[in-house]
Amino acid sequence: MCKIDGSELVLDPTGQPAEIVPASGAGTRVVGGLGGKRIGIVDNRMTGMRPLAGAIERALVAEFEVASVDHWEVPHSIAPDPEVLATIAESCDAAILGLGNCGACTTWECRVSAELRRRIPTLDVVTEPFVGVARAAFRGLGLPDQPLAVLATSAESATAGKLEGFAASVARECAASLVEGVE
Amino acid sequence: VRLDSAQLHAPTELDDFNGWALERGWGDGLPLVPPTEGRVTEMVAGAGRPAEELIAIVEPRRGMATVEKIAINAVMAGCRRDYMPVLVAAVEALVDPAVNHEGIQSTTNPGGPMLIVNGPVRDRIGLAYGPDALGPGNRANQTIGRALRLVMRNVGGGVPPADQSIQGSPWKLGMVVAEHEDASPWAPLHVDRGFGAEESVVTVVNSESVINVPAAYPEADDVLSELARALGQGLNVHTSRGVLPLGLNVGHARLLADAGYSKAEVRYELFERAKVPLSALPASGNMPMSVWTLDGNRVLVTRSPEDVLLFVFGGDTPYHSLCFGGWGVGGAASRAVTEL
Repeated sequence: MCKIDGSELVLDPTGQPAEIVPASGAGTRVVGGLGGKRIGIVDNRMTGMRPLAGAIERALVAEFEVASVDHWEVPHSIAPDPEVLATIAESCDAAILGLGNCGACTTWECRVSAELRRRIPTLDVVTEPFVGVARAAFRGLGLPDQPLAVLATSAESATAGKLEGFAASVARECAASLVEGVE
Repeated sequence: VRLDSAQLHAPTELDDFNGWALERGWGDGLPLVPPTEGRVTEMVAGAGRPAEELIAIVEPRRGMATVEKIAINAVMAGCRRDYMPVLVAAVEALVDPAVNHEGIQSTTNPGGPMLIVNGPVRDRIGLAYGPDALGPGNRANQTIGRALRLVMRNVGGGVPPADQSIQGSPWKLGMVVAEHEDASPWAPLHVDRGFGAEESVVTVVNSESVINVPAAYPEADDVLSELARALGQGLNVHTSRGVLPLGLNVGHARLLADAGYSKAEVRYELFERAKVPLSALPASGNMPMSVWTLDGNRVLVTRSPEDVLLFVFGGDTPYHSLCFGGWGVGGAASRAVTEL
């Protein structure tokens, strides 16, 4: 035991992070704007996501004239089928994921998002209490700047008007964070 | 043994060291043993594997759990060096995708990983499996579980805000139990899971709580019904996707075996009887209701009878068995213990 001036040397118990291969690739932006693009909404089936997904679709179609909005369902809080993710990445130009409204479901939403980001840009919808866990997850995944759309209230308790308003803001966030070359 | 970790000057007085360590977020609130080079070197030797060997990457920080890092946390938790093979196997099992440790580290739920140990290593390191096995007083049970939790915290970064547990739980300090194999009338858990009877094995599964099932009935049928009622408790099991650990006391196991039930038949009976009528659940649905698995108008609590993780420990009075509340989104993983 080595003692120096009333102290002894101890070993650091924290682990160094393993090397991260950032998920961001060529497909981190939709070039030229959302108009005419195919947008995927990836619904983890958390309560409130289904009406929110519908509202986001209406906003995307009305405001940005997207070509199509496809809805996909994945399980919450566990790993989804990789083939489903491959199909989403293949068939969509960008994806919006939600709903991060608990700890494990937010973690897995982030992990799915990072996987999709190898091919296409993504935006994640989380409720305000779970922004911290989303940020921690994305830091670990090498994506500290992943865009989040934050819902200040829980989706299941939001009024229809608030939901529509938030959906419109998600669509605008989608355009702002995922698009380059917008005139 | 060549150690790689950064060395820091820490106070020599134990109280001062513990305050210093807690300020760095290293601890769980209980006193820690200072991980000096000498102690860590001894602990690494107990593993019988190179200090630099990478055992697991622990989320969400993606921390590298090398033998050395596991050993440092084992020292802090108060382990003996001969516990290391069990702890290393537990870390390996923890990161098996079936367990969903990514979810455990961040869930709003209160649980933590439970380790069930089988095989000769139980007696070699003195794990408790008889009366009061889950209670305090046994160093191996208490410190191995604690060390795993310290690895999750210090190496994996499983602390707020990544850890979203709403109320927490004493389970998060660690939980280890061994199976009372000699007293069980059936094959032990690790044999059910494909290992040889003479192998030493650690099984890791997330557990939410403990539900006491006081079933002091003389008839096997009544005992099964009470056990099944406990298995069906709680929202999580209604996702039909996890495993349900059930620790039968020796007396209940013998009573059921004497009534002619094999272990597989007990699992089947529990699986069938634990199905929850839809009418008993809130009309507004589950969260999220789409993951229910229905058998007619009843919700399954697991996908199959094999997902009832049945093992035997404790005393032989057929009164209290323990249902370890299922998390609903995690399974179990087992790893052989490589002993020196």
